[in-house]
Amino acid sequence: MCEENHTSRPPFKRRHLVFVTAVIVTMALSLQGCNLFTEDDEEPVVRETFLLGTLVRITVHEWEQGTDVEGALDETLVEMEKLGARVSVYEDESDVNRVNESPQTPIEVSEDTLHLLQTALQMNRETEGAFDPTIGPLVSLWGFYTGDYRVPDSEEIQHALQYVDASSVQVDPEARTVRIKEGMQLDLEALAKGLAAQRAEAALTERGVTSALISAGHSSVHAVGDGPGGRPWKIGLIHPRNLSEIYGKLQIRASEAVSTSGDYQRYFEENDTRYSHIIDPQTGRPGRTIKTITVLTDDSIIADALSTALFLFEPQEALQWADERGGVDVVIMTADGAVLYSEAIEDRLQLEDD
Amino acid sequence: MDRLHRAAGFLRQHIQPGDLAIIAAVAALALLAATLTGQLGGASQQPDQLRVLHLSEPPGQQTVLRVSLPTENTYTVRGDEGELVVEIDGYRARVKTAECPRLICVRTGWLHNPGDRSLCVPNQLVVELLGDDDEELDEILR
Repeated sequence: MCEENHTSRPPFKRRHLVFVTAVIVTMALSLQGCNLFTEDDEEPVVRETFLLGTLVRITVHEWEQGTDVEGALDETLVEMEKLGARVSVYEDESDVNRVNESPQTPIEVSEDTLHLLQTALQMNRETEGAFDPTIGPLVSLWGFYTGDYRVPDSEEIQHALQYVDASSVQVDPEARTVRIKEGMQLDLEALAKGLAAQRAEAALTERGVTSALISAGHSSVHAVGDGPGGRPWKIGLIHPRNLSEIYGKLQIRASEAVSTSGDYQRYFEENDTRYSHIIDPQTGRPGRTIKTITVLTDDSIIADALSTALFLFEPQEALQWADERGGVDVVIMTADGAVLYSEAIEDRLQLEDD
Repeated sequence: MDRLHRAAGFLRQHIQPGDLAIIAAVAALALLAATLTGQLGGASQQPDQLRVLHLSEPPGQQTVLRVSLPTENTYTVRGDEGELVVEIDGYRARVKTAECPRLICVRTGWLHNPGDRSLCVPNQLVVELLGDDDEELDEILR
């Protein structure tokens, strides 16, 4: 009976089945396009601006109910720009430029500039001079400010080295003044990016944003809250010799910052030798022992300073330095391609197979 | 098991070989469409788009140029101070000429990889290559 009934069914039923299948397949694929299969329910809100000579990108993923995300971003950018106006070398009237234009004279600066400078000098002492906010004349000599790259001779290097000396910067915290010697140049850009990220975190959090990522340039990231749904943020580390691939993935959490320095970021080659933009304030020459280093810390102001400074260390020494200091973890690819990392981040680091 | 047998019997009665061909064709088409629109497929090493942002425009209206790669063409975009000529050669692109004081965007040279970008601060323009986003990653440090 049953058999007869089925075989006598009109053909439109078959067409129906085909139609349903097509609808299911199409729906499944478009759902994937809407990210319903991933953890993020909603498209993040992205905002970009030029700040401190680079592109700052804020990606907001989650917020409290009723938050005006666009308004929060507007106000956050205004605060960051105010900071930039005070501390950036790219702003004519900034504290740093006023100090640079009047050597030998104590110049009154803002609290922010004073704070950045004191942190910079502390980093200089902690890294035994590897980080130096007065490195400018050397960077300039090698042509990294203008793009007119060249290998200077020893005499030129010795001459420029006279003007690279963080210990000679005079700071009077009471009067809030800074004085540099003739021929010196102060640059607090690296630390200022970190302070800008901290300001942005405070501004966004205050206005109801609970999960966002702030990137300054390509090389530093600051986490506001955990990732969407409380997951850790996943940060890719670019391979220093194949810039379309990553060599590792690192997980970061709320209020943590990561910064990368590498010999592929800005460099030139002469006679088969690569000269990178990170110059050793002691030798006056680019670092050669590390291809790339990523620093993870909970203080974004020092993340950039430390990735720059530790890039100039021997790899094992950089690892040991971070271990001894505490609160700083590193991932290093050495000049010969070996990858070293702090034990504390073993669970958070995933290295790609070669 | 009985249920499975019944289901198999049901399908045998209702689907003919021709139907299977139609189902397969629909699935294949949907898959192809999804791949072409970038919803599927693994991480590609080559960029698939060039995008120019003009940051002086209000949020939501900042993308002033978006081009699928590969292609061969030059485009002129207007910034705050003047024009930028963007040259695309296959999967790579560069700012060929620019009206700005220091020409940092031009000096940046060819962009090759997804994420590579050339910035023109005076003109408030960002020229960047985009690729298949690795959905697993929130950001890539470079």
